[in-house]
Amino acid sequence: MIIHLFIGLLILGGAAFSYQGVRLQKFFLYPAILAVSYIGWAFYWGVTNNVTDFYSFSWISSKYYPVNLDFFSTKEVYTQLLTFFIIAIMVCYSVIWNKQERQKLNIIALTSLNLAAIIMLICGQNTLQILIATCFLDVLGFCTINDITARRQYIFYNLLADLGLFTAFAMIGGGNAANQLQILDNIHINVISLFLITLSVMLKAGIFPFQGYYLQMITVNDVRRIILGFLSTPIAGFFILLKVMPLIQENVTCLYILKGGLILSFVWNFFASLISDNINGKKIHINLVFYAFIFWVVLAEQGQNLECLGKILILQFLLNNILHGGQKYNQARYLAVILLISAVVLTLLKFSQFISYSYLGILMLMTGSVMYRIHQASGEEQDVFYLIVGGIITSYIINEEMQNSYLFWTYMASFGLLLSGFPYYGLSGLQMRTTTDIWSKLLYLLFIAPIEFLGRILWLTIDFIIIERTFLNSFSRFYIWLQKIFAKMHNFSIKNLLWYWFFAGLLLSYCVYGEGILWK
Amino acid sequence: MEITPQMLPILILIPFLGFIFLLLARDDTRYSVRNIIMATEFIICTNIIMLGRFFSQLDIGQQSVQFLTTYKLFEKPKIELAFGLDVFSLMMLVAIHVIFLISIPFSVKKNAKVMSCLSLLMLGMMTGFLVSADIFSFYLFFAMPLIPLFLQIGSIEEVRKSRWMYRFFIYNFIGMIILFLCVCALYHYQKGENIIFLRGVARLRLTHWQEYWIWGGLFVAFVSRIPIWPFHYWIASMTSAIKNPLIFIQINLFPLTGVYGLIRFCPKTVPESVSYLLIGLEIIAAISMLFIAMIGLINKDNRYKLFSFITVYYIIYLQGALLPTSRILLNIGYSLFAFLIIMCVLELLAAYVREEQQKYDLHLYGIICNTPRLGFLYAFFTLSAVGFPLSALFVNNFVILSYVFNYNFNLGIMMMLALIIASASLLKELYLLKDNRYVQPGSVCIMDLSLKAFYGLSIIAILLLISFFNPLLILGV
Repeated sequence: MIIHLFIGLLILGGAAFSYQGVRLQKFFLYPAILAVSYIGWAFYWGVTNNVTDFYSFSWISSKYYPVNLDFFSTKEVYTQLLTFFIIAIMVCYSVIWNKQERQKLNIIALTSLNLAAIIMLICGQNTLQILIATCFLDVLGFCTINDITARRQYIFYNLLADLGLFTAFAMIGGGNAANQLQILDNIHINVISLFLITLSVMLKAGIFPFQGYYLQMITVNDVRRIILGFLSTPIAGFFILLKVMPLIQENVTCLYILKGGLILSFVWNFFASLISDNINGKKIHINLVFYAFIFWVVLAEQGQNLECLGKILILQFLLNNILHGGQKYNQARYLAVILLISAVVLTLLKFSQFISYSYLGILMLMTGSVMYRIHQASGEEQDVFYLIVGGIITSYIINEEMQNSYLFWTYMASFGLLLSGFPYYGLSGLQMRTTTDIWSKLLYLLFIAPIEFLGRILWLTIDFIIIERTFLNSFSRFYIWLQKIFAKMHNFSIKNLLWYWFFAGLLLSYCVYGEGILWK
Repeated sequence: MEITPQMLPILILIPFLGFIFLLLARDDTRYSVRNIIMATEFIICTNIIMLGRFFSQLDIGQQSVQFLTTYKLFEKPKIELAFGLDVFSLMMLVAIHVIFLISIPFSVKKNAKVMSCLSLLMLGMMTGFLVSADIFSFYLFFAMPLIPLFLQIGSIEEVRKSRWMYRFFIYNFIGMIILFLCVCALYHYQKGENIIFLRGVARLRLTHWQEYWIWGGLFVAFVSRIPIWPFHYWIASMTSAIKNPLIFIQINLFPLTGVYGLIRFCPKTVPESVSYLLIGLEIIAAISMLFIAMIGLINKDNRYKLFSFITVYYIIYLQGALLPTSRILLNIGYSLFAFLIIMCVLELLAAYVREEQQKYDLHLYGIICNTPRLGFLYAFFTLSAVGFPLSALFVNNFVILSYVFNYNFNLGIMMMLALIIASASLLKELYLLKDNRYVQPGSVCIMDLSLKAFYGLSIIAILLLISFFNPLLILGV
């Protein structure tokens, strides 16, 4: 079942990717949408009929290092995949009406291929399959970004993450001659490999201090940014964390590093979202706060009982789309109403099991900040009224639904802060440019610059002074000296004759008394 | 047609016959140049078909040399030559033939006749080197490729007066002489046999000092071909001076002879008394790798960057070959197969960019922004080179590194560091070429790759993608 969906998505993605033109796009677009719908329907059919099967492809059949590619359909896999199928189908449908995106078929191709990679990642039972799926997602992410600066940052960060994972899994595989995830719990794992996995996960999800490459994506259009945010590398980071959770929990240092990164990521991006001037920047910061939040939930729940995270992911995806819509039509008014509806949906779905009140408050505050910025850009004076009304009604309904006064006051406090203008006027006076990637600069100064400096020193001392000036020059002079001696030997004189006999004597004495290779 | 071991020398003879045929050709008109290129391609294709036939009858599961055949060279002293094939050497042969096949149409423009003739000569000698199974034929084909390469560098690249030729000669001559002395010594100490098979060298009974000198000499001879300190300098200097991509590629095939030599002489069974030499070699190799990777990062010349990437990979294969296990030999072969092709295509694309840049007198920054075909292929091959799962490099490097980590953790860390730096250096180069901030709208752009070249290289890209699953699929096995 899952293997059929995987192959179907690969074929659809490959076919859609092969047409890069724009002229005949509409001709191919609707069949592609139909194909996506059919795959979605097949998945839904599998979920409802509870189809279970297992497919294992023996990829490397070496007796020393066998590797299988596993694809299996179980309830757990269905639950994890459902969210991404919903998001993928929504992205594909939304692209039909999206005028900002010219290469619509390209988006469908990337979405399908990303979904296929996520299937591979979720079904992965060995380190190599996980690694391949992760790299596959990275390459697709690379193709998704259509801005050169963002693309460069993205690929450098993700290359580091991939090589970190590659090294860690190679260490695990080499030390234990094992690549199966099930047996990793029972074997000794090197601390360096755990450390590398932790850093790689942080890099993938843009957790502090590695958020730099996400911030570069302000120039990437919304549909592509949504694909990158919800069907790409952060999701890879999330599933890698889930799969290696038992290993990371064994090491307190790694756990502290990850938790510290998450807290700092949360705080940094929260404030950055409030004070950033750029609406796209604000949206990116909201997503980064969200990633920190879901990673925190995974750590807190120790990777168990995470069924609701899928729904939260969809909610965040919807929020992104709503903000995108608001920005596109320059309307904070509609945005307030849509936010109201989404808040009601949120409450009805009863996510309170995981979404703490403080997180909801923060989310509302950040969203409000984006709306306020959109409102400012629209130039309509009265729109803020709808915002107030929307906020109060939302808070009231949520409170009624949840029967929880804390939640009500959390919302009220967030809207209060928002309306007081504190988030925007209060902090923007700091003139802090959050889009400036100081962490990338710091990483450059701490790691890359010393390597470059060392490279220059090595070139100068070893290549130039030792080899060029010393070794080769000495050889050259020795060669000239030999030439002179042989020239002298051939000019008859007593002195030259003495030289000649001197060398001949040396050679003869070696042959007679020495133990050369051929005179044993 | 039934393939027999006696047909093995035909693989060496076909390029030689092609060489003689092309020597008689005219090259005074445009049409004759095209005919020369087509004839060269035809000869290479013929050999590839022959290789395919050999592959179809090869036992993949068997690691030892197959299709073994011997020929009497001299009666006094009694010397016989032996030729044979195994999966590893056959894969290298296919990779080298593919490299020549795709490089010649890109590189042969001026001096078509000389270039094609010498390339075929080089191909024949490399084929001879890879099929040799005894020490005499091995030495012969170890030394002989120097002649066509020396002639190509001297006659086509016009670097005759520079010091590069001097370095090229010194380093290779030292290696050649040392190997010759070792071969003579081995022949002297063998017990009345006419053939000393490569695998049998380690089984010869020698005294401690004889082992010390002979094995030490063998190591130095092979290492002289691999860019390990202090022998890296001649290749580094040459690669920076060479403009023709085919000559660049041929120079960078030379380290393969060193790595292949070490694999063939089988250091896993190196006598215990000289095993510490191997440790020394490993340490120097690891330091050289890091050193060259770092210089590649700071160097602005893209040929040097490519050279540093090539060196890092060759040293990884060398370290893999030096491990006391033969389990990863096939992985090294698969990885080398993809690596050689990627190295070749990257150089071809880089040379195309350099040529176009000089033609239009442009800066390198953002030069491939408006060339979608070139940009796509450059990005694909760079991403494959840096280790994304787009070719056989990925999985097989993973297995090689796993074994290295298991054997020596610190060595593994150094290898990974060098790999990261070399990859970063290649990516930096790619983004320099694609950085559109420096491109003004309406400014002069270079020509994109022709459709023919694009489709040709796309086929290579597809082959690489297939090699990701199993390189033998490409070879129809």
